[in-house]
Amino acid sequence: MRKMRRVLSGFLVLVFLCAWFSGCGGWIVEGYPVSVYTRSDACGAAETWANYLGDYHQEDLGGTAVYGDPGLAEAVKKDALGIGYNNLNYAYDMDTGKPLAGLSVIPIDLNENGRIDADEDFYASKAELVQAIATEHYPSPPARDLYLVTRDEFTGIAREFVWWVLTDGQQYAGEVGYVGLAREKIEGELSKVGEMQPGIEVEGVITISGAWALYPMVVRWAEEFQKLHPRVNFDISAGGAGKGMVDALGGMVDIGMVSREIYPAEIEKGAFKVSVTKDAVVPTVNENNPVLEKLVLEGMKRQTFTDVWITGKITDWEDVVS
Amino acid sequence: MRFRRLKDLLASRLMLAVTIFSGLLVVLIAGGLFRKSSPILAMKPLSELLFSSSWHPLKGEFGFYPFIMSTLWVTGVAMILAIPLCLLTSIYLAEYAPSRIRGIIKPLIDLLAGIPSVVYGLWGILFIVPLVRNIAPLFGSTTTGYNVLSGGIVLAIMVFPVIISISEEVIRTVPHEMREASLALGATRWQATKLVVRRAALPGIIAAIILGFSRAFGETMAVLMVVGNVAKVPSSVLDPAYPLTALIANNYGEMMSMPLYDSALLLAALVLLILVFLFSVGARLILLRVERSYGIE
Repeated sequence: MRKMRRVLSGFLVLVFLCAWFSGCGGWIVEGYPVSVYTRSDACGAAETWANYLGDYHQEDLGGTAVYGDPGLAEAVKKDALGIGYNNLNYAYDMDTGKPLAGLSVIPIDLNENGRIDADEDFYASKAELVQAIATEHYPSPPARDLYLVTRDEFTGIAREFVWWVLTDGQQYAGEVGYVGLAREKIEGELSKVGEMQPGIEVEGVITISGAWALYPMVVRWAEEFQKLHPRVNFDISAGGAGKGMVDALGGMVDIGMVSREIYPAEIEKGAFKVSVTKDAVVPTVNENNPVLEKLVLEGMKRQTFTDVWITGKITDWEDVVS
Repeated sequence: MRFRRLKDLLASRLMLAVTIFSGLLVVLIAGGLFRKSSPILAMKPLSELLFSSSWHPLKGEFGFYPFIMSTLWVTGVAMILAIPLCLLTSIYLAEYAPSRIRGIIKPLIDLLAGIPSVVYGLWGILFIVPLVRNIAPLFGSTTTGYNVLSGGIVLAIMVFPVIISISEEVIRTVPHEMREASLALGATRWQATKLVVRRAALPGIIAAIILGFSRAFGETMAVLMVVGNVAKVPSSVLDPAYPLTALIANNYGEMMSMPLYDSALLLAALVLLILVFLFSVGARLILLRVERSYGIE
């Protein structure tokens, strides 16, 4: 009696473990249903991706929503039928510059001819993609500008800092994993910041708060700026783009960091923005995707992404490729 | 002599003030939330806010129904999983376990209470989500694994230590004479537990379950990491859900610059507070009735 019970419970445990580790249920369900993933936390990446798909916002993106950029990468890595999107720094490995182990970046079929041509093929390494973003071969959105904002205009040492970021500061963007701005763009932004007043005393405290997406870059800029002007101190905190906006508009900080487009309601309140660097969102799938070979050859069109994330017209991987 | 009295008077007044203050806190919090959420209450009828399923804040549609239902679903599933397991564990620990086993297991369970909720969330993503994903097809359906069931399992494990340690203490306070009398009449241990100990310990066990429920209602991080966060009313445990707590945590930092959005999120907090309040009042009424029917004052 006791022996039988032991055998039975051992068997049950085995069944569970098998199901757990092998995912043996796969064959029971027909076809390859697409598991669509998106971000649960309100963020610039999701907003940018929704903008790319049409006149949409994050709240319109369908799919299972996961917390945080690393969370989304992890979810797609774990799900052979998954599709998601990630910021550059989370889709590619920091050290090797290749797509993260377990992930593949889906090429976008920009000219919509049903295959990936040589001039659309720049996803093999992060360096290539960064180059494509800087030269605007990779469209914007899903590439995006990251902004420093304030109320009305930058003044005093905050303006000094923003000016420096747009000039000498640009060289550090690549090292931290961002994309520097093109030359013409920088000139446009500099003219928005306005002429420098000569002889300003560069000392005091610059307070900054806002988007997580811009935080590592601004910290690096602050370190370099401090080397040049040792009497300047920084007080930088991350708490989301909305917090940066509220703090900057309310005068609680000198500079707000914002990783999404500015809403009209915010411009009405006097939000003033300057682009300082670029980042991009890329679509990602699991490396064991059942149609991966075709995906890499054919890429995906914008409308296909929209049908996956917004309208829900496409639900099977075999309908994604020809 | 007089000084001694004075000290006593001072101490009692001071304690009264502190007590009133902590009692008032909940009123202050509710008041603050109400004031901050008044812009949206002024713009939209309450019935639409509470019973509309359409959540598109940037288009001006604020329906909290999916979030309220999700909170109830996830909490419900967690409690259905937790209550039987916790009761059996606490009965075993209090009535059956040799003191050596109890000495090992009890601290381990208490340790569960000290694990930060993000760690539960990560653990949920790494183990529970794949487990649920791979087992669902055996029941003829597919899921990403981010759903009510995963949220419920993680949450159930988080309320284990609360319910187990309190009910175990309660069961142990049942006087020994009661057990011995029933054992002396030839009852087995299980019969003694079921017929005698249970009756005496029930009100305390209900109180323990209520505490577990309150914890489950308010838990945020661990749940939001595994529950899928889709703003739709779930229709089965394999559907994703989006509890109120997750709604607030996901959006507050990014969206507080949009006046109406900000106010909607604070209304979500107020709704959650009211939900928990209604629930604990209801639970207390049940507790009162149980105590009365057993003649315990």
